[in-house]
Amino acid sequence: MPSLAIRTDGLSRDFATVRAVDSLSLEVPVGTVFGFLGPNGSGKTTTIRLLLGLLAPTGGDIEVLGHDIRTGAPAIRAASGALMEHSGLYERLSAWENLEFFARVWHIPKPERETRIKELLESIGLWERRGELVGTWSRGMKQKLAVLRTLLHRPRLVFLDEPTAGLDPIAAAVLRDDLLRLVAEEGLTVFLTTHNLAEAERLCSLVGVVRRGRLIAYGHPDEIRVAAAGNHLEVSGRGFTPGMLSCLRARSDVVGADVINGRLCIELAPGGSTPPIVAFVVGAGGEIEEVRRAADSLEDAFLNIVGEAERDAG
Amino acid sequence: MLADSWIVMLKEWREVLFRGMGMRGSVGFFGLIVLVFGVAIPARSGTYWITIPWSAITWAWLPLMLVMAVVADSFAGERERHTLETLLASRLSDAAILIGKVAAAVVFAWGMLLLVAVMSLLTVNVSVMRPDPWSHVLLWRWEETFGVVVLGLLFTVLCATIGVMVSLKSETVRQANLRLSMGLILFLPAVALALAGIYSVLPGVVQLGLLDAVQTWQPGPVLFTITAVLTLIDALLMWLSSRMFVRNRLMLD
Repeated sequence: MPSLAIRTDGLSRDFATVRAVDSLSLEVPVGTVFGFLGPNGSGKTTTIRLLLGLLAPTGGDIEVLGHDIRTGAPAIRAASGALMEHSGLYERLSAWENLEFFARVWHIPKPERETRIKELLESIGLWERRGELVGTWSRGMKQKLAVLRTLLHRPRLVFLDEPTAGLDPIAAAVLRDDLLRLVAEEGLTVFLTTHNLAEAERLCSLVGVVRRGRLIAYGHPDEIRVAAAGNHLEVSGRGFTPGMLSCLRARSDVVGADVINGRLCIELAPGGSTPPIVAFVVGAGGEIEEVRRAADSLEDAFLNIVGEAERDAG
Repeated sequence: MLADSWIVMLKEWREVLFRGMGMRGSVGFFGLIVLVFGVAIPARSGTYWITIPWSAITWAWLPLMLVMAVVADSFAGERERHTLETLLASRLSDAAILIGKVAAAVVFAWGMLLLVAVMSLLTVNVSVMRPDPWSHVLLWRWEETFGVVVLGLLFTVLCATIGVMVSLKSETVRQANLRLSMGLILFLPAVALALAGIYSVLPGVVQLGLLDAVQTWQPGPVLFTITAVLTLIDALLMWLSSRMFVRNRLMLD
């Protein structure tokens, strides 16, 4: 069994003159919840379609669950579940009929099929409503059912394209909790795209940030936060006077300094290090309780990374 | 693959035939078709319904209409309701999806045609009931029976395959229906005009020969020829539709 669920190498996809995915190389280990983050139009959905063999790559290699996409797309789809941009549910069919259709598609034997559907519907409290037409349901309920559909055949890999998009915060939180529990119970690999960075931070053990089809950051959410925070220092304590701030700003190893909510926030110049700053602050009469490299939220890190990439692009 | 096509076909029936019009609407609509074409018209025609050659296959348009009721929804409906991508992301093969969609229209329309045909035979026999009915059961000759069963099936496949190809290339069910209706309105007169045109440019001797052949026709060779031509066209259209049904291209449409 391969240790990587997904491996892409120099993956590219062009639509006429637009390059939707640009030299994307990433690795997603088996058993990981991988968050694929990026602004609108950055190539997230196209990447999922490429990984499922629904689109052919213009260049590069894809290996999913040990299968090359060019020869093994049917095997990849057979071992995967996918919730795409839309729920993909048949609204004129009931919840039971929807799940039963897909269970039959995946050749789940009848006795197991019924047990499995019951088990999944009960797990999210929709068993009693199994006979209702899906078209009469709220968006949150439909999304829950669509997530169940992706797990129905016990896939090894699940693609979830913005599963909480358009849901109110409560419905999104409930779906997130259900998803987290189901993923833990089923022990699978998840490839998740989302705009909700707090959601990614909560669910994902590995994230990749993509902009205009290019991967611009990749790693554990904490690593990304720290990397994006870069040369920011946060100093807790007392005695941070305006004079001290002026002297700090005048230093060549400091880009900026300010007091925010009683904390001294310093942005170091590239190559700047912490000890000389600490020595200076103490020397200038400051009383330090704690010094740490500022770790922003993943959302701040994401905005920093994407913003930086925008500036670099000109 | 056939098992997968069967699964797609059943889903299609459940979703489009029974839920699309509602259970009562569907039963009412299909019941009305059987009543009109299987009972009312044959009862009024009496034995002519059975004895006049080719009377049965004059309903060739019946499967055409029935196919059109179902087939426009096949892919355009999935696209319009945003279920196509999920279907394509499943383990179903291209061929299983395509055959399932075509089969849903064919089995339904051909099944209805056979049901109506059997009902019409029953109706005529009951309406002209004799003292000893079992000794005088009225049945079609083999030519008409062949026309309904075999040519009916081939014609239904023809209509369904064309319908599925139109649906594949349509964004909405409405657009697919419009294209099919327009095609039908233009196609039949076009065929008639083309045949008349070809006939008019033929040499007089050939024209006379053709007329003579029609007047003294032998049903066996004619039916065999029509069957062979329809089978060929059906196979060609199925091949063409399989060429059109490519996941990569469908995602871009």
